[in-house]
Amino acid sequence: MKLLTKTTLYYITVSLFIFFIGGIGIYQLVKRLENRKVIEELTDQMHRFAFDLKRIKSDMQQVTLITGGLIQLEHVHEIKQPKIQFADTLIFDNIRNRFAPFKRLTFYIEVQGLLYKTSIYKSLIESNYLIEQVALIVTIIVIVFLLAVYFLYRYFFGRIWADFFLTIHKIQHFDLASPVKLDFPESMIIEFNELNQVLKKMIDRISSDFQGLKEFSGNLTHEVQTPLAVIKSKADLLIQDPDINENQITLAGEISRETIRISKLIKALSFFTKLDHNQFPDKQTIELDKIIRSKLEVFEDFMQAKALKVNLKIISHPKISMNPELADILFTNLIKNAVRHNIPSGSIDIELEQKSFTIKNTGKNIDIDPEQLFERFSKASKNSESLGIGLSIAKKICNFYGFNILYGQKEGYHTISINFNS
Amino acid sequence: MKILLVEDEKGLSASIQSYLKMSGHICELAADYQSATEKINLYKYDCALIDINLPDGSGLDLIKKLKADNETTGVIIISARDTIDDRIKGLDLGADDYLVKPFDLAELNARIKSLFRRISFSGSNIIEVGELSIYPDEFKVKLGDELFDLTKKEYNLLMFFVSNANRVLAKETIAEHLWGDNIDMADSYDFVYAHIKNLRKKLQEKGLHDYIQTIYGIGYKFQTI
Repeated sequence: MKLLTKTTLYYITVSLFIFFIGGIGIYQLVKRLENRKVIEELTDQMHRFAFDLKRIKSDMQQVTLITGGLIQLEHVHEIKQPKIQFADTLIFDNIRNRFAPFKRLTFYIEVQGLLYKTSIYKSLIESNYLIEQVALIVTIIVIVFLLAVYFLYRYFFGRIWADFFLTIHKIQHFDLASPVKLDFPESMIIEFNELNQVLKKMIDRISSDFQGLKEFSGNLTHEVQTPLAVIKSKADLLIQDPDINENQITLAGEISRETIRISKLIKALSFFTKLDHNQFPDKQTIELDKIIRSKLEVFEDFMQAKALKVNLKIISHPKISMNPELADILFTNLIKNAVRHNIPSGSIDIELEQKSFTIKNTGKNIDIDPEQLFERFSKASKNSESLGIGLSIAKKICNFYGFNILYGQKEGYHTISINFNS
Repeated sequence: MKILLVEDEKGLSASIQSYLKMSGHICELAADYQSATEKINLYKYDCALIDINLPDGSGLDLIKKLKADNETTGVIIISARDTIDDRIKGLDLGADDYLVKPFDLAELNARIKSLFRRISFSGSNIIEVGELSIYPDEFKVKLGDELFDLTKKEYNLLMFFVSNANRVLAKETIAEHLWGDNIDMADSYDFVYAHIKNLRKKLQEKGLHDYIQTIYGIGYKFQTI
């Protein structure tokens, strides 16, 4: 859930709860006030009426007519408790032609020696109307307020958290390999400034480590090659020396060979670092069937010499967006691996589909965990010419592009498959 | 052939110079950008071997200058950098070839000869080795008037031997020349052996002298003297 959605929900829930309680309270309060007002008015009227009545000398029948039915007099012989009673009642309203709510005050009065039960009626229509109006206004205020809170909150939310979202955006688009430095603008909010400072410190540290490692591996690759070239050239010259004996020439040959091995090892290791540092950014659309065909051609001699049978099954022609150098290395390594570890008169089956590439070769059974096979310097055979990193390079390239690479071994067949779509 | 070698690493330039002298070339040294520029201004070279990273400048600028002054000078870059980008940059400036350090002196020698054949004698280029005549522009070998039938690999092998005649060639060097440096196949030495056996057989069938000597423990030598 987004920060905005979450906080808005909290705000609205809490506001609704408060307004619900508040609304009920206001309603009850207004109702009680109105009720008290009506009771006061009735009481007041009762006293005035009683006072007036005592001064009347005429027939009591006429009194009822004058008051228009809102005061009723009934001759009784005794007083029933309570002496003064308020009650809500419905009376049929002739004019409006419907029942209307009234409040009735009943009391006893003695006039000219006779006891009368007197009822004074007061219409509640107006006070009910008032209560309804108050309730309506309160409801409207609540809705307006909620809407205002909602929109104002969204507006202020955007303003307050803007720096925070800017920070997130900057981090998301930050690339260690790019020379652009990460810079956060000053924020009005202390916490965000603190966050930015911490992030900046962390990223600066990572950047400098990254740069250091990049330089180190760059130096290692290039600077070491020159002395290696010197050693190799001296060994080469030594081999040409007419006075050298058989034993010495073998030693010179070994020096030359091992020098090349160091050079290749360093290049392969620095390749891992380069891949880790995303130093192969440019991508092209690679037509896999073409690259596979050209790689098979490169290894043709070796396949012929081993009398390998190659079956190339191209089911579809996938085009993959990747760095051409990496594509070249990946397929060279896989095909080289299938040729190198093959048996005489064996076979290589290659299948290319829209989403996958599979290479299956005959070979000796190896006793090794499939996962270990992709690790650096793990060798199934004591083949000292192999550096033991061909497959780990292949795996690294696959990981780099999010491809899934799997190894399987069954009945003398070794299969490596790549799924481009994972 | 007159070659200018621009390389700041003294140990390497001395080795290259010795090897090229053995092959009958004249090789002049320049250890930095400054002295290389002076030499380019004063003399004309058939070929220049240039290291890109020089203490006082870039070898790439030297290539520009060389190609501007004299189009026919062949340029081979010798560099420790081997990314595709570096190669493209160098070749775009007009370099003819690119060798990555550490390289084999025999390979360098073969590249120089091949480059020289490409740029100096256009078309009418024949290499005589005993009774054999090699036509490098047509990838053909003749024995008198008769075409000497060789596979592509055998032809490449013969050319490599001829370019480094009377030199000991390690079998790795031959393998790398024939299949490139990323084919570090263990079996490649067996294939070198197989190809050499075939070439030898073909030479013997024609009643030719056995030029190819096996040097125990290291490789082969193409003996013409």
